[in-house]
Amino acid sequence: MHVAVTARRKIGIGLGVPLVILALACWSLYTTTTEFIETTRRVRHIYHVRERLNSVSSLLKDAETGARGYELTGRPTYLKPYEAATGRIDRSMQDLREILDDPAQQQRLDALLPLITKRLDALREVIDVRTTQGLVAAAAATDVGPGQMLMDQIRTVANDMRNAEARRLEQQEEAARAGTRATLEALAIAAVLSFSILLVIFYLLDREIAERERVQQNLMALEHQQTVVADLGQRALGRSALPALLDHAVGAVCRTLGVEYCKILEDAQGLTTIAGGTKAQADYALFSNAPVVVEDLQAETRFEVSPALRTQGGVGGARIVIAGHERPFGVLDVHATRHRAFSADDLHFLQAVANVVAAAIERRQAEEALRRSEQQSRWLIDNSSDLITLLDAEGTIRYASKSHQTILGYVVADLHGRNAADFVHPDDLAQLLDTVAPSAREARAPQSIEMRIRHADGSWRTLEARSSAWLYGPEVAGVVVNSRDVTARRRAEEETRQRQAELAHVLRVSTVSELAAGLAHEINQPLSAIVAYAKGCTRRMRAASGRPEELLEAMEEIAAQAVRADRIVRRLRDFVRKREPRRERVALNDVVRAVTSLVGSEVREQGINLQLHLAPDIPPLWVDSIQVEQVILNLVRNSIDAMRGLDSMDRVLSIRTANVGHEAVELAVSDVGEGLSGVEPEHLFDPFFTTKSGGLGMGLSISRSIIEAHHGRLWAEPNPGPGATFRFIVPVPAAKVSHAV
Amino acid sequence: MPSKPTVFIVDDDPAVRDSLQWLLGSVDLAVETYATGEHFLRAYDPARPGCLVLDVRMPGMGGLRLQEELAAQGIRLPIIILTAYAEVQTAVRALKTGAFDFLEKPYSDEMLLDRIHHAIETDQQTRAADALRVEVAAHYALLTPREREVMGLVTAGKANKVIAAELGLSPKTVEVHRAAVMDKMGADSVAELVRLELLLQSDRGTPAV
Repeated sequence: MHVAVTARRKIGIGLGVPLVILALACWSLYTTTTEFIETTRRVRHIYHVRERLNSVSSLLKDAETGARGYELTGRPTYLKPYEAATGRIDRSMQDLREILDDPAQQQRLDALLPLITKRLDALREVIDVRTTQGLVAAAAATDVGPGQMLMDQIRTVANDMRNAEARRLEQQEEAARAGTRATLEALAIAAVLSFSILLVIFYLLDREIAERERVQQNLMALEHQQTVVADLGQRALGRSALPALLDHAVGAVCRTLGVEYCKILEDAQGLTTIAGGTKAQADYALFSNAPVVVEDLQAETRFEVSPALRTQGGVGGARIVIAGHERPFGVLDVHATRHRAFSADDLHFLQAVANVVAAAIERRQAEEALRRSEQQSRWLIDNSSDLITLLDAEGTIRYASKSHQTILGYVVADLHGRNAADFVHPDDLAQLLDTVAPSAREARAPQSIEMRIRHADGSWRTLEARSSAWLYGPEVAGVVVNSRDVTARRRAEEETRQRQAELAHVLRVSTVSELAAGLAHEINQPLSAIVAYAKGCTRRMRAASGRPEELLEAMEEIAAQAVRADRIVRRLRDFVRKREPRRERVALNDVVRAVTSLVGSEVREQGINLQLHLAPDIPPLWVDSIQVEQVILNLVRNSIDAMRGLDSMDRVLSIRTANVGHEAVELAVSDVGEGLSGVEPEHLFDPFFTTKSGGLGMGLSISRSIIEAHHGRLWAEPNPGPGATFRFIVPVPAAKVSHAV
Repeated sequence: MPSKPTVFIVDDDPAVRDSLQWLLGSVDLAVETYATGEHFLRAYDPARPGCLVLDVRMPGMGGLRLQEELAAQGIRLPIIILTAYAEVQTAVRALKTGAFDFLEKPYSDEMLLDRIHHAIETDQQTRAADALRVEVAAHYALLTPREREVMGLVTAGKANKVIAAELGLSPKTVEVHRAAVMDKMGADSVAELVRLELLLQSDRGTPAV
């Protein structure tokens, strides 16, 4: 595009400038010629004037001669010339007057005319005298002197006129000569200039065209190279074997670049030869990690040329590294037996070929690795101690790993086509459908559940199963269930739980005995109120002073206080009763309130400011309420103990419940007491660790194991101010989560 | 001015408060109830007679703290401590700090009423004594320093001559001072003056209002 514009402009300037010069030259020639014609006309006019002058002179001479002849001889024949001359002389004079254009010449003519008339009159007089009076008289009448003078005057004037014309003629000639010379010079310069410009333009255009042809050629070559690379890429993507692909690549490079030798050298040894000091070209290329171009192998100094290449007569060549991810695969080597320059495009082409080859090699390697990995995966699945089962969307078993035989006692082949639900314990089926089925449909994150599966011998095994849905993945198109036999572990855990429950019970009983004083007060409060109300009633009734409605009101109060006392006793009984651990739907805030009633008396006695911050929207938990109550009671009593050293006015204890997202709830017990006093927080939860003189050191330890049995977490942290905060988090049951979502 | 004796009840448990009020109401006692010691302290005018019924276990300012605070302020309202569970330590401490009496819950109504009446009586006696002390102190304030010196020596049982020698005065002058003291203090005899002196001494701690 840019080139074309430049060329057009060049042509325009190259032809336009000479054309202008030539036009100027022509115009100059035209004016000169016009002037020349005018000069010629003037010259002709001059000649004409001179001719007329000569004619007048000769006519005058004829008249003179004729008159003279007749005077001397008296023969009338002499009168003829005279007559003829006088007759024509007027005409000639008249002509002369008409053609004279110079005023000076006109004046001279005006001077000449009377002289000629006078002379002709003189001659007429002589002739007349001769005719009438004869020769002598005529001779006498011939006034020689004055006649001679007159004639001289005539001659002088005529000569003047002739001379004037001659001068004009010279001027015209001079002008004509100068004009002609100038024109010739201008023409010569114009010709030379135009020619030179044309010559330059021709040179430039020639170069331009040559450049375009070269670019065109390069473009074609490049296009061809790209076609070759594209073709090679297609083949690399295809299924053809690597050696065939490499052979094709080598051939294509030879044909495309017009070189005799093309090889692909595999870098089997790495860069070992470089260390030896002698550098082969391939190693040099690997070492420099950039294309290496050789103009003339014989003059090469950067590396040692292989003898084979010398004998093959390699002269110009190039080497390109075939790069790999970690290390190069090898080198693409090209050589010609003549000088051959490798252009940037050629090197790009070679680089592209090298890249395609590298990609092909890499792909073949990756395929090989994948095949090996698949074999390995299959081997791992078959030998895994876990159960790996592939179900379709309906729950039909499509694949079962060999471990099904060892763990569940089934022949693997018999399982195929059966529905997985047939093997699940009826009580666990709902849970399975609740968690696994939706996760399969919605491709949710893997869900983990526990369920009982029937062994071939009819017993139940507890499996921990983790499913991930691949329904929409083309590789599996199903639900992968990975299960592990946890029967033994569950049994052990159950035993641990039993022991823990027993220990917890022992601790509860001991706690209650510690709380006895406070609890007695707590029960005595309603009892003393009952007594006072009752006695108040008795006295009024005896004195017959009580109004019936106020007596009624007092009796209602007595009943209410009796209920209150009963509730305290009942709660206490629940708390110390030995019973099986049991999960139920429990409102955490209610448990907190139960705890505050158990410690209420102690809190009051200590003058503690008890602050409850109970979040109203705590979802129900699935926990053992007595155990959780025990944990909270334990934390609260620890806090009360921690504040014994404080003035009663400063004792503040706060119990806070809060939601942690949708998945869990948190309870925190904070005090402003002595804090952790430098003890590592985790150390507090060690069994038999205590800072109290009368403590067993089991409270926090059992609290933690209770919370952990509820899949929660219990920990302690120092407050920013005085005191410490004990916190636990318990997960909200999954059903709640699915409702919330 | 002395209003009807009032039983002030301080207990954080509304049932206990209301039932006590109900019981005391049956024998026509004026009752005022307070949920905390702080409330009571803020509302109580020391001039009001009666007695205070307290629970030992209370949040914030406990019963014993309230008792201490009252003592510190010089308020000698008789205090009956109620407790659910007779803890010897608590009882000892309460009585040491000057509690009037100590009752265990649940209490016998007769015993409670008996103690309350007793306490109110005691309070009235205390207040009468206080009033007398105030009056004597006012008389004493009228004495000149010299007269006070003379009074001190007279009540110490010294004769006029001895007093004159000790103070470097003439027995006559001592006689004049002595007559002025007897007159200003409103005493008829030396025995009477000695009684007034003792009253004044028992009052040294508290300001004469």
